[in-house]
Amino acid sequence: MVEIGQISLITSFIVVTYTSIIGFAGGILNGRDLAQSARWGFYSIPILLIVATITLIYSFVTNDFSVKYVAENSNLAMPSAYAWVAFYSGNEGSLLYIAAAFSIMSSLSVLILNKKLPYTAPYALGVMSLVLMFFIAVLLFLANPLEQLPIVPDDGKGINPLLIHFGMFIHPPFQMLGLISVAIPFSVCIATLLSGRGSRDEWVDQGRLWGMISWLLLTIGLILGGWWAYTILGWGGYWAWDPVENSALMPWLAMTAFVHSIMVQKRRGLFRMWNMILIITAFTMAQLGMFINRGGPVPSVHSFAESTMGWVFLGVMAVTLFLSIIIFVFRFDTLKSRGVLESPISREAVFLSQNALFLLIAFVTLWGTIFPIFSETFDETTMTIGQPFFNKVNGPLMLLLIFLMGIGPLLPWRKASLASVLKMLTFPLILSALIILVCLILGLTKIWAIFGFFTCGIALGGILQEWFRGTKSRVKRGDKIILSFIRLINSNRPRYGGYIVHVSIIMLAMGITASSFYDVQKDVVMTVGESHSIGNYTFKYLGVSEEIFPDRVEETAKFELWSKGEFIEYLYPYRAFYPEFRLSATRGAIHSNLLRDFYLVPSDFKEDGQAIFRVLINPMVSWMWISGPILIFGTILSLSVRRSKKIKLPIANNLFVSRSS
Amino acid sequence: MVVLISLILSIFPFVLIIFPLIRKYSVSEFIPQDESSLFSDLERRWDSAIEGLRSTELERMVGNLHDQDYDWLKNIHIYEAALVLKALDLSEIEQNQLIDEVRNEVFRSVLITQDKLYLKAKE
Repeated sequence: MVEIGQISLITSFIVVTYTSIIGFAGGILNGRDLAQSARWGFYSIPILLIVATITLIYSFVTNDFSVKYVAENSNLAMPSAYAWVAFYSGNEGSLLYIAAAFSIMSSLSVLILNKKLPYTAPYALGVMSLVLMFFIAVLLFLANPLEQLPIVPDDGKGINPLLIHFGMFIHPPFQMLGLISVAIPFSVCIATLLSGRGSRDEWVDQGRLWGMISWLLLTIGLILGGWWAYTILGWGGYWAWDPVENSALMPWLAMTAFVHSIMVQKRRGLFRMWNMILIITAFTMAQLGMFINRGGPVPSVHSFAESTMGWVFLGVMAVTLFLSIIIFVFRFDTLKSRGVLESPISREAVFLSQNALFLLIAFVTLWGTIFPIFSETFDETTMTIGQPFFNKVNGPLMLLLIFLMGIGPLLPWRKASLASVLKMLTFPLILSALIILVCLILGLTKIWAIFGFFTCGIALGGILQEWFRGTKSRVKRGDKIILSFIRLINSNRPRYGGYIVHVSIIMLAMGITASSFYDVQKDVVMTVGESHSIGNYTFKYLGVSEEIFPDRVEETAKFELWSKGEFIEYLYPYRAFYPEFRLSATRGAIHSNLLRDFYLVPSDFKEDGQAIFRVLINPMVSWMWISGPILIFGTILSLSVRRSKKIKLPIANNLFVSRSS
Repeated sequence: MVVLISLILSIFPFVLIIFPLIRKYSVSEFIPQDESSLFSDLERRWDSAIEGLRSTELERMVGNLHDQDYDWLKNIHIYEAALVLKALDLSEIEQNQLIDEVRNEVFRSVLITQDKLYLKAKE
């Protein structure tokens, strides 16, 4: 079976080499047959890589420890369902996953590009083939997941225990796919430059479509990563500004700037150069993320896919960036904007400010992430930058971003008078003032937290105001309220889908602000039968039980949780020790509601019967997890095309259909 | 079995690659419109102008726009649409038909049939 996978990998490498050369040749020579040959060849690559993937997963399911990667990442004790997680839990498997997933997604994009941008598509196919060729080459020559051992062990080493969690079925696939999917809008952008077609905004719709898809995948990956860290790592937090987390955040920031900025190009023909720069930056940052994740020199708690090949990724990143800059400079004259920024009080001006902030946050994060390399190089001591730096610098910038997110969509394109601005800001300001009042009544006086809620209030107020007015005007026509609201949303899906995404971002921001400023943490030493109280909660330690599994020893504590004299539920936090990995893992027990989470995690069980627990009360964390599905819904809505009546232009006799004819 | 599957996997992509190179293209085969042609560009600008008009009406409906801003924005988008029509070199009748179609569609799409402005425009 493994041999079939190897043959698939080798064949896919030959095919992708062909498609990368013939794709460009088809574009340059305008040869339809060449382009079609490259395209059809490209469509065969996902099939080959899926076959290679199936052979590897089959090896996991059948415990075929003759495969080195299987022996290193699973054992007989591992539940079969985790074969999927084990598949990408190590470096080699995750690279195969990336290659296979990217081949599927890029084939789909080539299929669409061929219809929408037939003369740019061959170049895009060439660029995507080069990206894919790199991954398949690494798989074949540096990190082959199907490599076989000369002596077959009786049992494998086992999967990293921290990966035995439901979240691992979805977080890593989304995160990795999100990072590599940035290559698709990047390919469209580079293809546009290579074909010399940037001056007429041809690529904008496709750039936006694939940029949004990539952004969505990155966002899901980030939220799921936070959720996984919160529920399984047992430290009570969700974001630690770890280098690998940062490396996923940086391309997300650049992509967020891009999906807004591309709208300006679509509507106004502005920011042509800027959008190219953004997408090149995003792809460079995605590559940097892969470099850090795969054995980069920066210390990180995420060491699952660590290897020594980080420098290969860094080298490819440098070459890609260099070539992108050369191509950009070479085509500089085709990227002049069609119009000018007419007023600083306009939607496009706000988008530009937002873009600058997104990039500023990305570069601050980049600096904080790679600072240890500089400190080691110049000072011979490794200094890492911790959470306080990122929170102090990025926190206020993010609040400013949310403020702009609130007012940006309310402003019209081109220009608005001060009278219009005042008119539309009245309700959001009143709502924000009310929020501040409620905060003060509740005794919340931390200035940054209040500012955070204030900016969220402005953003939310703007959205609610528009929804209310739009619905009201439809109700006047005789429609029912709910129907009016649905019809309003349906009337402009990109706009209102975007608003729904903004609502989810507001929820996320509210959750982050509340849990960052008003969390309570306490370490308590308890004996069996003892009770403690924190806030409204009282928890009683009922005892601990030990259970021995083939791969671990588990100590599970039992607690009663009460609130205001009312029993809520039993909680079972536990600690597990994995001898094979010499690793202790703790799993917190969480009681969650919309207002706060009660989070209990065992730190130590002593022989004298005493136990140490960390108790946290984290306000509004559940808002962050609820925001995820809302965000997905909003993004899909904004991408869905409503078939409205289009006023078609008649083809005039004096215009040529093809540029080449 | 393994040899057979491996053989199929190796041959299948090459069949896909070679087929377009050896098949004969008929003269009447569809040639796609160049995305960079002047007409495609004008089409995009036209769509953008129409979208701008729709968006302006919507902004006005939800109360984001002052009358002065509304008039200015509407004129800008109509001017852009007119530029496209001029570049297309259409007959006056065709131009008027299109402009009427735009007016009707934009007003209809934002459901402001009860708006005084619409009634005025109809008069």
